[in-house]
Amino acid sequence: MTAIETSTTPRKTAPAVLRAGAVVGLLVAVMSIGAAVAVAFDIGPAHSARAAARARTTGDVVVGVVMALLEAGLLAFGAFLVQRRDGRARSALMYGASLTIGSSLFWLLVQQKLSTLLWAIGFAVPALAVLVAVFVAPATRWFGAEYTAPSPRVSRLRLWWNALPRAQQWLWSLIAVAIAVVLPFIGTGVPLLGLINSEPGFDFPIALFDASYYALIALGLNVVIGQAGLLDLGYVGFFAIGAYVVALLTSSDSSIRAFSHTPWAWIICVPVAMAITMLSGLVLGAPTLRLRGDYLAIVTLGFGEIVRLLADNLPGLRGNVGFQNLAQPPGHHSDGTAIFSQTDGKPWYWLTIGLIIVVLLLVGNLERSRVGRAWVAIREDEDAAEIMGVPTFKFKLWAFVIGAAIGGLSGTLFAGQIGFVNNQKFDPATSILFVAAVVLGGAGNKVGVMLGAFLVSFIPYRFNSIYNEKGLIFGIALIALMLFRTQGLLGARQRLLTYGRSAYHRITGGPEALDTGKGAFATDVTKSSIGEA
Amino acid sequence: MSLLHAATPLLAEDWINFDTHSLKQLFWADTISGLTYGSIYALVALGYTLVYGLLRLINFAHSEVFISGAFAAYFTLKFCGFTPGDSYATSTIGIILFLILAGLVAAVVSGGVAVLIERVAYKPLRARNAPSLVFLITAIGASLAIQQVFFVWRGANAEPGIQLVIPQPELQVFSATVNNVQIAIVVAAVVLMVAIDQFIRRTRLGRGIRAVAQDSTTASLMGVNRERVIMLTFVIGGVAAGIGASFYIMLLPAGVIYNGGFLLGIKAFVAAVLGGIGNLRGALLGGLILGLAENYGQTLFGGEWRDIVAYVLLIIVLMFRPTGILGESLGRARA
Repeated sequence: MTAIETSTTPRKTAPAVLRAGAVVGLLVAVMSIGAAVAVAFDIGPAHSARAAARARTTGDVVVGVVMALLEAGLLAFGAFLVQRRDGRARSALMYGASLTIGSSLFWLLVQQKLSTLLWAIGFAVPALAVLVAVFVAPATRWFGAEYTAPSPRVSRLRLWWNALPRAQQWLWSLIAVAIAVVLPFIGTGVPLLGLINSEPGFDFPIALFDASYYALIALGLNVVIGQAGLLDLGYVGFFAIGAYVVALLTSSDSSIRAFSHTPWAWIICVPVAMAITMLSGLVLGAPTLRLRGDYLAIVTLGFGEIVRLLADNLPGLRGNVGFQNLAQPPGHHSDGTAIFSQTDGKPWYWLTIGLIIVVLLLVGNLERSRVGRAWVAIREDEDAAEIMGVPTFKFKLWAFVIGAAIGGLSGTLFAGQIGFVNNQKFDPATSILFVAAVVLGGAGNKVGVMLGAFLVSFIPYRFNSIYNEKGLIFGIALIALMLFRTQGLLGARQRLLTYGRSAYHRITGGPEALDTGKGAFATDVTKSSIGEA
Repeated sequence: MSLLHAATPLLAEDWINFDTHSLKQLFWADTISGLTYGSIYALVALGYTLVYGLLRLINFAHSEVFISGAFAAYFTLKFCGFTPGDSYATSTIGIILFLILAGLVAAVVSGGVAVLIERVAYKPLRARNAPSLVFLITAIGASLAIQQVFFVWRGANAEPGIQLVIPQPELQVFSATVNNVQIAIVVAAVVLMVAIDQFIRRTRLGRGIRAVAQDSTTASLMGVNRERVIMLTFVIGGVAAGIGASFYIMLLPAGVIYNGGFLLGIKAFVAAVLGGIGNLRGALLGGLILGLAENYGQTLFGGEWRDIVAYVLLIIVLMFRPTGILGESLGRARA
């Protein structure tokens, strides 16, 4: 309402908050040029961090200086525009501040030592302050921007994707998969990309495998949280059950392995583990799925804890001592060493990518089926769904069981790669991290949750040498990300599921158009902005 | 049959015991100890329940509000010259005064942290109508960040305990002796809970809280300042948690550690849900029941089953009473 009108009327003065933001931005701009020069010529605080993980290359310096000049230019331009009371100031300040945060991260990645961290925080915090100043209510009113609306870039990307013919979508997906497959071969020497794995003592393929099994977990949890809207805080329980099934069936320490005299193959454990986790999903779900929302959350949290405490207490599960020598998938290199080993993460990573693709296809089809529509109905309004004849309990149970099976699958991969299972990895904090991955990426969006999982597992890994502070950074990053993108990095959007594509074509005579919020396909995201207007 | 035979080692005979004999013997001692723990759970549960009743939001960072209080109380005592591992020749009155001082500082710090969390992690989201899951993530982020601040500051080890009050048996209840610490904790916690309950039921500010809990739009149309009420609620929850924390370090002097709030926070949340989240008396009842059940379970099954008893009790209660024992009703509490 007023927000939109004021954007067209001439403005009087910039609010004090924004002026302050501009001043801080100007300061940051000046400082960042200085910092880039200092780093480039080895002067100042960054110098003490010379014993860095990765020797800084000329390429790094060039990239850093260019970034610094750009951000300084943008911030200074933004400050100038605020004085001129020009509406473009918002974008300039926003891009400048974002770039500053990005370049702080860049220097942090190049030379990760505590002094560099302080240096980076010194820039990132004022830049964040500029962003806040740009986004807070008075400034927003001045610019008349609707900051609750979805980012036009993300929606444009989605529209572009949805408008592509099926064959092209497959082609692009293939390219994406190919990039994912060659990812482990990136060396530390590659100018910009090398930064993602320049951590000393950091096994990049294994980190990628970790990210990939997190992605699998996020996909499974997305069925429960994103599709059916059930908050499950005990998902780690299913993951643990999957891992423990492999341990019990194949470990030389296991007491029940005895009933087949030859040890089980890992491959056979996978369906067994999935069946058992499905069963446990049923056992947990049947009595508790009548509960709503937050009650369900705490009960599932309790379930996860019960699984962990049973692993602590049951003598057959060996608590902290754990199980060693777990089975791994078959196959040998030509020199006789096993393909799947604890030291080489690459085969595991590729195996997980394959499984992710299978799960994506299955879950995607499920989403577009009657089951998927029932889930959406339950998520949006459970009572209404029940009244319309959706057997809500049954479909909630399905969501739970399917989610559990995927969690169990991921558990078997984890157990196989580590080759060792004990009670240490299954605490509620891990469970909450899984939920964080889903919500961060955008609950309900499969690509989004995988991105979230990658960030959640990879960031703490990458910053291992600043071990003490990484949790702090991660916590603050979670809050900041959620404040700026409440719907997650790639938010989910409601649209017609079955025959959606052909329906759009028939009604609009073309592919999905940019949603104005007025058409027949008003999305729930834009609906909220209609409500404002 | 062979499968059963093979599975027996998994459930070896001594994996759990049903020690009814010690339960009979220790029944009253367990009751007293359970009530003590229960009162602390109840004080922490109060914060969860108030915020939930008002905003339908699980304040996951409340456990860090609690542990900040514990750190504050600990450092207040240290600042006052009490060193870990000593016995103190201060008079009883003096000790009580120091305890009150520590409790006050803890309450102020916890209240402050609660407000800080509200300001940083929740208020901006409320302004833009974020879905409730997002609040959960910022809460987790805040919880992680605060926890790590303590970790970076104090390291991974617990602070050496300051045992200000030496537990001394004061009176005999059936077969159990009750010590001074237990009496102090239970009495103070119950008094505080009743005071807060009365505050919410009888005062003008309390009426504001109930109004916003019932229907925040109508309440703000009637002139209730919603943001102020929310702030006040976080303050009350934080103060209760801070005072609970200062009792907690009396009971468990070695409990001041960076992640010490996490499990206790989950327990307190279980207590709140057990009694009916959003319901103040439910928090007290849930806390006490949880404390008792844990202690009985500990004696009956063995110490390692303590936490499982709590979660199983929660699941069983929710199966029969899906909204907790007393039901959820911050708004519906009578005027």
